[in-house]
Amino acid sequence: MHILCPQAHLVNAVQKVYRAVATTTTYPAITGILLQAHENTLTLKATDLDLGIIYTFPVEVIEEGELLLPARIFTEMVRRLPPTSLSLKSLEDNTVEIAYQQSKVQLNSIDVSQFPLLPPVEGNFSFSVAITALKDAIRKVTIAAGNDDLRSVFNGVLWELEPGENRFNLVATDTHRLAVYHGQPGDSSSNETATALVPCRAMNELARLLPGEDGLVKITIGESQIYAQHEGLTVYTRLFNGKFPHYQQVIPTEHICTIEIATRDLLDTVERATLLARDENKARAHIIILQVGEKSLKITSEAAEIGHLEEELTAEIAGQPLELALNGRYLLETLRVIDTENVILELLAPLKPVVVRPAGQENYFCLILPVRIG
Amino acid sequence: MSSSCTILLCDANSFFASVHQALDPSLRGRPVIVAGRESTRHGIVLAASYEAKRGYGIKTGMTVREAKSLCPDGVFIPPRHDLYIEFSTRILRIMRDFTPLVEPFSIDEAWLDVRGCENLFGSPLTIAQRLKDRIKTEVGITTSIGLGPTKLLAKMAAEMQKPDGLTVLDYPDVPKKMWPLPVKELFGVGPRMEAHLAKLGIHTIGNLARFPVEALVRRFGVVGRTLHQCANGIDYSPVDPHSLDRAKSVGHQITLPRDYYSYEDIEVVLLELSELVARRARMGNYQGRTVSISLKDAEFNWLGRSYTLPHYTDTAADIYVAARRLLRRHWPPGRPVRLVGVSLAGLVPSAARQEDLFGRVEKQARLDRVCDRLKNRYGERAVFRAASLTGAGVLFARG
Repeated sequence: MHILCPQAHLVNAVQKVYRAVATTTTYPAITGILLQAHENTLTLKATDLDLGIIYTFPVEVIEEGELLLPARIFTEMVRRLPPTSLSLKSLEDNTVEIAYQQSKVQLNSIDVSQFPLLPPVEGNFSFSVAITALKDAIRKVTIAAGNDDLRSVFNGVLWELEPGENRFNLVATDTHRLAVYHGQPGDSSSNETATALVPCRAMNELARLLPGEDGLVKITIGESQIYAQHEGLTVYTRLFNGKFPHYQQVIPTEHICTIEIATRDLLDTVERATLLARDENKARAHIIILQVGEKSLKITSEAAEIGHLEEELTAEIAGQPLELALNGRYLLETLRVIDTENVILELLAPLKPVVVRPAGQENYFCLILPVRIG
Repeated sequence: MSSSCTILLCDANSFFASVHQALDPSLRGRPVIVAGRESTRHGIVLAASYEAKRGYGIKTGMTVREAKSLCPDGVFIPPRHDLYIEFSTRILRIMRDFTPLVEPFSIDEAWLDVRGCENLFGSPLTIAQRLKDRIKTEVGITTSIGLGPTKLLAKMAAEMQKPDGLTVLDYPDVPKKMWPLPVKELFGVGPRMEAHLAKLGIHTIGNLARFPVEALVRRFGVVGRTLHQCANGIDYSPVDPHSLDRAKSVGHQITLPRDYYSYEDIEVVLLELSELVARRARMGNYQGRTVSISLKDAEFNWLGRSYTLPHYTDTAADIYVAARRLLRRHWPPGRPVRLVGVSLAGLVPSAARQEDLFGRVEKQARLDRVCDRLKNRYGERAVFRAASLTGAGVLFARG
């Protein structure tokens, strides 16, 4: 293999795939990045057998071929090379020579045949989504996902494709809160509904890799994998097998009280209230109390050794007065992803879920289950 | 002796053995050895009377077999923890007659601060002597008391004369009495720390006291500074009568009747221990987050690992899932297991409970409440897991 390519392009590509490289493994081949030169493009591939990232971009190919290079040293080296044109050429003795200006560096390579075959992009369900919508959905939904190795289904985001409704849903829950996002799919390949449980980590990597501009991502749901493609980039991940709970059943269908309030004001108050109650090792960690009056919302929190806080916010309130306690951190994380000026809280009872919605946006809500104070 | 010497450490000598000797006069003067039953492999010496220690070289932690070969006519007695707790309570009650500042350190040791009690009971030395006499006549147990200006020096003093000692260790005595001792005698220095210190050429408490403190801090962090202070007799911790009111962890461990080899068998015991631990946490109104397991193999090699859950719990199911995961991740398959332990740490009072969307927590809590009520009324074996009926069960299903 022999290619010519500007250093900046190679750095950009290597940094894209690097996050999928396995770090702790006994299988050396997957600690490498696979380079494939073919018809004036270079394709970089990395996988830890769960997550895989593939990136293709144009280069000048002098001789086609493949190379598997140790990811860490290759990435670190390429980043430090001068910003000029580079020549990458494989030599006879299983090494690669990277030449730049009047200099060169030679790196040992790994046996290409050891690199696992990546699954071809295939599946019965595919559709496209606007990049902006997908990034928005990931940001708003992943906050509710769990982080417990012992119950991995809650560490995933459920994708539901409902072509009949012209809708896709992203759902996550850690059993204490639940976030639901509705999006509109474009050119769906099937009329049947499909679901996939996608690890949160892959969702976050995808959001990081997609550019912050207009455009579409093509999503393909396969048997045990899901793929996202945009221009030269393909991200895929193994799906979780576990059974996601029947989340629709826990979404309240009624409420006795609604509060509409300025998002920023509520966020600031909750931030201060949670600050007092942030000691993880205390019985009342993160607990804040919401008291709904007729015209105002009162928020209090206390920590025996530190002090207490009481704030009263004016709000538009319809319905009956109510008091409940909840984890302030959960409310905080939800408010931080709400972009509308006002936010709506819907309450039913002290121990029933609180529904948090952006005012004027129908496509998202998060529900938070209160805390029982004994 | 300076007037600041007001802290006492009172240590009941050979406590378990002494309790049996106090109850049964025929045992006095004879080598009494408290040890678990060999048949269930709990055959380890838990305590030995001074007659057994001095006359026959019996040491705590020896196997019963060793002890029997050293002391064939020793009186071997199975442990009676209910008695020890009762005696310990009686001793603490006498201590509290002198001062409210009593900090129990273990079942047979406690610190007392008698500052300000002089007008009532006399000098600290007089109080120490009166305390010894009262425990001897009212409970029938001899004690060793150390007296010093700090908890550390009181403890070091108590160790210097056993049994039936009364020793004063004041700051001016430190270089002469404490520094020549091997460093492992310093309170807080265990075998591992001893080995680390030996590498630095520190073998006596005096070596440690004169070692540059910065070097110790670089090597051991905050612990290095504390050790250096201890070696110089400095200790700022007050006698805290409430130190035991706040449990930090609850745990249980058991030596198995035979070595277990399969994960499935070990897991039955993990489940039983998880039940016990969860129940004790609930009884104390605690919830915890960090689950630890501890395992010993046939050669007594020890392994301890822990996992911190994202949420607080007081239910066996959560503890068990974490314990099982730790076992499968860290214990090689097929390696024999002799001892299993499970503990729950990071305890907080369970004043609030995060509700769960799918009702799992609430359902489990209801079930736990019902089982607790059954057990409170009909005993610990009133209700147990079906797994305890398998051959691997050790805690519930057997007499």
